[in-house]
Amino acid sequence: MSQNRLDSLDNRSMSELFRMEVETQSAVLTECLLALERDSGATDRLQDMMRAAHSLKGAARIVGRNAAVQVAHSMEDCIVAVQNHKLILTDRHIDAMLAGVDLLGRIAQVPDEDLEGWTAEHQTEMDSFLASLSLDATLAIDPVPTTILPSKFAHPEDAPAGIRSKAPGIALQTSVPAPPASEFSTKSYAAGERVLRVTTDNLNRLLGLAGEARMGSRWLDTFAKEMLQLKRSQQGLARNLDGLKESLAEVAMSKRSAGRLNEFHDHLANFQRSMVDRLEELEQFDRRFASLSTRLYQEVLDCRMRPFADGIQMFPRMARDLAHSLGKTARLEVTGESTTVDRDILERLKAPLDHLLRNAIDHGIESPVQRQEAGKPIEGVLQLAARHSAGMLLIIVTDDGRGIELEAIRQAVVAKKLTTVELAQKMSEAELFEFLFLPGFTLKDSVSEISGRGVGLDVVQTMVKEVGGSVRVFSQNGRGTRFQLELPLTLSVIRTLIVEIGSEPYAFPLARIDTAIKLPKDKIQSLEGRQHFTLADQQIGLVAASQVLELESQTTDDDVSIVVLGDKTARYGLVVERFLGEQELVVRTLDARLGKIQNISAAALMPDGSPLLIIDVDDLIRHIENLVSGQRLTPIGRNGAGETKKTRKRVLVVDDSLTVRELERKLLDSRGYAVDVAVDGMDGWNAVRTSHYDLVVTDVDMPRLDGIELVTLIRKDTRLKSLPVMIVSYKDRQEDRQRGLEAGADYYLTKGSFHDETLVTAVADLIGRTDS
Amino acid sequence: MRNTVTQIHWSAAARLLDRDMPDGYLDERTDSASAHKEVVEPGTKSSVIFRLGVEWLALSTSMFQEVAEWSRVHKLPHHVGGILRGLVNVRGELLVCVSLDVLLGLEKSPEANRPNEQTARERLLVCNREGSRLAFFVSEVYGVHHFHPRDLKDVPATLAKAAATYISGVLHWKNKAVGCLDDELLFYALNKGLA
Repeated sequence: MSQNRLDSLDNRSMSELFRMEVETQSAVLTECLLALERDSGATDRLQDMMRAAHSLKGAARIVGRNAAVQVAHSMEDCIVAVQNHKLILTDRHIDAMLAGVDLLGRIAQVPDEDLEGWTAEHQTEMDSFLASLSLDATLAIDPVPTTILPSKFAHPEDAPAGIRSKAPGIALQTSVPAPPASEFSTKSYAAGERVLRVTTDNLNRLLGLAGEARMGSRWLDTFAKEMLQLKRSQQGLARNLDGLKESLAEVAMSKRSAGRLNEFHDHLANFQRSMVDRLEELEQFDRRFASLSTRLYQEVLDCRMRPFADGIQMFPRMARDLAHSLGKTARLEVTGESTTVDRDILERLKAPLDHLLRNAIDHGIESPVQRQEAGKPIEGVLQLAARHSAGMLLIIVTDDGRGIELEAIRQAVVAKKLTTVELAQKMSEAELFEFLFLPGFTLKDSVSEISGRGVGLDVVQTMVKEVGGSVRVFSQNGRGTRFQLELPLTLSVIRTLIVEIGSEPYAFPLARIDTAIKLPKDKIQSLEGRQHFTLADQQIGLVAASQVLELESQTTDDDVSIVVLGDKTARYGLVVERFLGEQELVVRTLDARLGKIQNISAAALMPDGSPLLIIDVDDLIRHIENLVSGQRLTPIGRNGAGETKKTRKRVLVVDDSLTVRELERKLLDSRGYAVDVAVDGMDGWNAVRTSHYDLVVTDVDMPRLDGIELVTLIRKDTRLKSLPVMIVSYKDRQEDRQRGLEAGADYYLTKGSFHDETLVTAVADLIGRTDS
Repeated sequence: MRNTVTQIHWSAAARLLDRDMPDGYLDERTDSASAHKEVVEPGTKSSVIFRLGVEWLALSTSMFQEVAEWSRVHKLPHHVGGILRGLVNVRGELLVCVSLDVLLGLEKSPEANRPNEQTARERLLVCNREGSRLAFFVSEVYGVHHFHPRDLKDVPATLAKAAATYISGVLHWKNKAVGCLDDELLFYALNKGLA
């Protein structure tokens, strides 16, 4: 598991790692600062802040971001002064330090190649920030602290967009003015409605309970029906008694017996009446409860919806800036901000909308001169609209620019040899527009920074397909272009076909399957050891679902149940054990700790409450393609991979700084050691007890359990006491070194040693070079 | 007006308090007051004792969210046979179900050989440690037991190596040796074994 995570980290640059670390530590710093603001006595927070600032300083030094080193250092000085009671923390210091946190965030965002330019450009701001935190300034008593502009706004460029939207030449007009992002969501919400933040966990639990209640109501329904049966047999009993009475009327009966019989008759009649009453009550309750639980369930599902406005905050500013940089004039008009959109769809819409708007400004909107010549207003208009229509969500992006020239598409299609000249001439408008969504397809002659790489529209297409929607283009030459996205209202509920594989239920989203078909066994043909069948004149290869999913299969003697998947280019028939029927399911996300499970996208509950898994159709098709083309992927982590691991020496790196951890990991990994990482002493202590390592490399200053304590614990443990341990720390004083070695460390290095061979040499000294 | 109402309440309360004691009430209270009280020592720990196959184990009570009835587990494809057993529905929520016997390297309990069949004593234990939840099946649950850490004995060398790693001490209870699980390490390993 950790191996996968490491691999994904591997592709990142050190600067990216630094950015991630800044994110984590900034959160710590901000939280502590806010805690201190509320309660200046919360001095325990100072230690956490110190550690965060210190880690950031070290990490910044590693990636060579001196500005960040300075900021972190000045914050450290300030914290130390507070710890030593040389400084009393006031709101102004907290403001200044929060500004410092923001500044660190911005420094981390600067791309490597722009670093020099950025530093030069922002020198004044840096100076004023450092001055605001320098001890002289902080010690000076500020007579009127409230009149001071918070330092984060001290530099005009940092003011939020709303304050300086008077940029020349551009009128930014949206139906919502552009306030600072943080206020946006609350302001744009339907008038006066209060917004609560609820965690996804809470919501999921609520959904679970509401689902249970609904299941309870279903049980009640069946129970009521059973009671009805009981009533019927009671009626039968009464009829029997009536028959008995009739036949007994023919014989002479004593008065006593007749009385008893009548008594019995009355008794049963009473019973019947009260049974009818109770049943009526039960039915009433059942109806109330069913409607209540269904409504409860629906309400909880609706909680997943958010206003459209929440997902598009960044676009007005983006459109404005982009148009400006291209020397164009454009405004973005948004309608339907209060339209409710599933929060998952809203999140996934961001990238496609970004592409569409960029395309519209870059390709669509003409330059002011061209627009004037065409007799259009100089200012181009982009429209972004959202509305519900016929149970679907419609998102429409329109521009009044030059439109798409059909002839240009024809030429591009022919030039790219996607079709012949004759066929291109015959193609309809809709068919030609289809080509725009192909990966790598572009009409632009030159690739610009904004768009034209030809990656835009296939991103849109992919996202729309993934959620089971569709996208259409309309364009009029010279008049503009309109993209229309039709998406499902929610991702929480999907229609599925439920099948049985390995005696367990699995669901296929209906939108993602081609056909489901039952065939007698003799319709299956075999060719070169591969089975296939014919569907609409097409040969479709068969694969057993249990084989793809690595499950034990149950053979059936009946007809073969086949789910046909894939598109025109490649279709596969997946053999399942049984069709269980069609069902609407509420999608439950899988526990994040499981990571991505191959071929599975989510889970759900059957109407009877038993769990089932929802198939990730795209993943499954890829997997089948691999199986069919013979490149059977050997299960990860077994056999082959395991053997090479055995010969490699295993090192555990324990450090709370992501940057340092990754640096050490890469350094050792490149020398052939197998490296695992742990994020603090406690994590490290757990790791050494549960797996075997040849060496532990640990930092000293860490939360939960520090490096010295970790070494001490290792030395005390009978099974681990001979495990070599190396300390790598920023602390380079003699007494620190002494403390580490006394605790039982075999080596003590300072963190400067990454830059030369010291660390790897020391590792080789302790456990030898690795064999691979 | 108000005085009359107060008067009524007052006299009703007096009647309630002055009522005759039920038969045997006095004896019962006397027995209870004179009974030997178990003194709870400071530092006493509370654990849930349960059986997994032939082994008796204990895990800190604070880890438990609930003891649930048997429920069907759905296997996860490509993960068959490991620590991860699958998903299980507990009160409408899908929880990750793990196999403690696999982690501890214990002999398969007879129940584990019939994965989707219920036995009368089998229970699903739902744990919640710092928000991360896991469920696992056990053969039987005894209940909550209190003990003092000084009564813990060392782990015998005869115990399987995998199990010994996760057991911090052995408790003698009803002539049985109960392995007390180290919850920090146990959850670390279980969470790590999920993906």
